[in-house]
Amino acid sequence: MPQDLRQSDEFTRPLRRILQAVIILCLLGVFMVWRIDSPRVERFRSHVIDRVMPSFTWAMAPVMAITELALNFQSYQNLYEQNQELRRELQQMKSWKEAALQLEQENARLLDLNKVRLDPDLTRVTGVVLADSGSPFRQSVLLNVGARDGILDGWATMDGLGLVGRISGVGAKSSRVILLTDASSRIPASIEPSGQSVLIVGDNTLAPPIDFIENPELVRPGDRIVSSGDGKVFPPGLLIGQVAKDPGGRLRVRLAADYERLKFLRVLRSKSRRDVDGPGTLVAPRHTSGRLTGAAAGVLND
Amino acid sequence: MIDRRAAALLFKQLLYIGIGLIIIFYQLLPLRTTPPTWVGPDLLMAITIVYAIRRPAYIPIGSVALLFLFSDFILHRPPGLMSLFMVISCEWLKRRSQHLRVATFGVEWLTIALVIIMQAMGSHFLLTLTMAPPPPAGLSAMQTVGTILLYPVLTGLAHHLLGIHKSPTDDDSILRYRL
Repeated sequence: MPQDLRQSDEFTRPLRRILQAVIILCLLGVFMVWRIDSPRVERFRSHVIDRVMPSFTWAMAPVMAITELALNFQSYQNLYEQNQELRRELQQMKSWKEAALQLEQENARLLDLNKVRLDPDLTRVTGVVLADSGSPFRQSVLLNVGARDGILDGWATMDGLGLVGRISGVGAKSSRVILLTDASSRIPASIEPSGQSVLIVGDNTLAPPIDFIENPELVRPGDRIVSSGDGKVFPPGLLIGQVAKDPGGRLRVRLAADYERLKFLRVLRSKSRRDVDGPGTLVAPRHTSGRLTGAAAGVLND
Repeated sequence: MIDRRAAALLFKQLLYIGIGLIIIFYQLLPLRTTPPTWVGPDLLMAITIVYAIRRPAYIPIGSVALLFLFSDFILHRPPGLMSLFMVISCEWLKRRSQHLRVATFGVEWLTIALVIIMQAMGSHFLLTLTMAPPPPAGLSAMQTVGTILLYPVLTGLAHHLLGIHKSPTDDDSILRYRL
């Protein structure tokens, strides 16, 4: 019998060689198509994830529960210290609560004086985090809301307090949020009270650096950073975090959102949204004359 | 008899895919959503390389390509890139698994270390060439070193716990990868 196998070797060897070459070329082709027509491949990717992930969730819940139990068990060991610390923090919180109540009353009075009507367009959808990116180089999470809930690419995502990220990739039942900490995240923001426009540049660390500061002297650690609404990326005024200075002297954001526990996220519906339906539309210059060509027209007319 | 052996072979091949899917599934659990300061080894890559040297017949080219393409898509990596390098290196290692059988473990380890480093450099080069942003160099270097260090651990486990010793000889023709 081994002889038979060895003889069949003679016949199958060229076939195997061809198979290898075909598979290698196919994989190279997939990569090249991704580079050439990225939005199409990314749509395919979110379609694949949309198919696979919801069927994973039933298995994820018990595994998550067990792993979190094991992680929590470690923290029982220093329960006493934590308790003391919590008491101290509670004391501080009480004073802050007083301040907040006073500010709330003042704010209500001022709003009443101004007859301000909050933007009714800014409604939200809340989703549950299904999975993270699975790779240490990518900071994103997958939500269980998608196109059937009306989610669109580019919408802002917040947790209870602050901005978390931006929708990028929508499937029928799931959507991906690129977090502010991802290396590809660039968010226009403004620093209060000096009002300077800056860019929050994700660099795969928990505190993204602040870039393009015009007057660094006017910015102090502790200043609030909110989204600026420049370039219609996000609605203006969403809290991002506070300015902090790292040991190297670089200004960074201490994010307001609790990135340790991302579980429920709010997706803000917003009307002013820029489509990215082709690679060229990202870098298209804004024409002032009426004549627009190609895919750029779709973006600039909205 | 050949049927039973073929069925056993198919079962082992499916087992590899099952292990791979479990690893991908575990990586997806949203346990840590903060950016990492350190990166662990790539377990799926290490296990696949152990397979390629120890039991090449259990990982046919199709299952390596499909599993890694699936993980590329689902783990938000550049699609096709890592699967391309894994397919090339697995086929290269499988063809040499007979020579590595008689070599010492040091030689084997050195070979796979070279393969893993070449993969990291190759993907970094290809990403730079196509003007795609490569992953942070420090983290990917850490992952490469981690994967190389994981290899002896995995082979040790396979040796002592599972009793998988060396790559199969010519006599175990059904286990041997034929090319």
